[in-house]
Amino acid sequence: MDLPSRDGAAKAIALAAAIALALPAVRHGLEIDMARHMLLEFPAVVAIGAVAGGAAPRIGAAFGRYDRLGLTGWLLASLVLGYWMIPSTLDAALASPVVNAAKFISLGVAGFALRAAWQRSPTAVEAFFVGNFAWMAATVGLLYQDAQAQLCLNYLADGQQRAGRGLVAAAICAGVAWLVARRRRVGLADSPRRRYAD
Amino acid sequence: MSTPHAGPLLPTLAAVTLCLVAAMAAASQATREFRAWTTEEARRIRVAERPAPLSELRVTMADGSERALWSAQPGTRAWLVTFMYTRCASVCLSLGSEFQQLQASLRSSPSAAGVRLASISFDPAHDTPAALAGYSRRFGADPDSWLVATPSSAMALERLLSEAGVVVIDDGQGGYAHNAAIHVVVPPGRLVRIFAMDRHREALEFASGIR
Repeated sequence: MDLPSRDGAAKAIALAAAIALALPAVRHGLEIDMARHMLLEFPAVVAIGAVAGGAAPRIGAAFGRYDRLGLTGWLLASLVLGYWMIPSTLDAALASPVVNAAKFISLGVAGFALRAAWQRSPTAVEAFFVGNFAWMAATVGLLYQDAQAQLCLNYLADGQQRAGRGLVAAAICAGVAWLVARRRRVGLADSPRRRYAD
Repeated sequence: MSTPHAGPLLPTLAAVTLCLVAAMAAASQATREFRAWTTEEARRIRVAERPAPLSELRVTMADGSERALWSAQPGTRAWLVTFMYTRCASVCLSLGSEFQQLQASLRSSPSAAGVRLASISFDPAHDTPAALAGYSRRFGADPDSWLVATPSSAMALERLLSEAGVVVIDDGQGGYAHNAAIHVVVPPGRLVRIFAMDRHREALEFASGIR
């Protein structure tokens, strides 16, 4: 994470993704399909926000007073992601450019806040929010798969099925990604510090 | 954790509370106080609470003539309106047969006098008067009680769909998917209630109760 080359690559990719998402044709291509909308566009915007947060650490640090233990950042990200899983909000984003702009901003801010919170949060707080996100995404994913009717006016039932399966996969990925990223903290890999403590 | 994170917890609790309140407000607004998770549910609740005005609409009928909706006919108390396209093979077929049953009920029930049916096509490119006439014949639509028509201009169609909150999308197989329902419209153009397709009896009962 801290290697300069990797950091630079992340910034370049995030910048390229942000430019791509600024193109209406790219947004249209993603948003025309429910699964691409939720499982490609959403994570991309959150990731862009997170990379921006990494590039501007002072802004994140300035909010430290309001984000002890990373509580606010993790909560904000959970709430934003939960909100955009409500089927009617997807329709609203497609129907109104203002709502769609609010979607991009809120997801970007969620990524930014998450990056800042990442520096502050203890393992227990992270486990709580990652677990919370995982069951939320999995539940919504199962509900999408279970629904007989079209949930969104703009998305067909088969796209809904794929989005539902994708959300379940996203729930699993979120948990695994967290465990990998924090492997030292959770004891899945040797921590240099712990070696000394032993 | 380590000491750099120490400090009063109160500002964080305030920020957390602010986030929760803002999220609850946003979610409540999006779901009409947590009663509707889909746009279609929200639309039905919204219309029942606050009827939606519909502009006057010029339509082309199966015989090729034009007329205005929704008030042109003095004896009409309410319209039961569905949106369809004549090539539709799935939902619209059951929709047609439900309207067939409704037409029979209209004839036999004196309390339903003044209630009329309207099947409005959102596919004017294919639904020429000849296609509309074919649809009328297929379901035995009696022109006196069941209007089969399509808006006369693309602009009128777009306005009608947007005022009613109907979204028509490509189904990827050459047809369309749309939020099918029975819309109760009273002259001179107010959408007052929306019923699920299988609730056609209740829709008729509701329309019959309109004075």
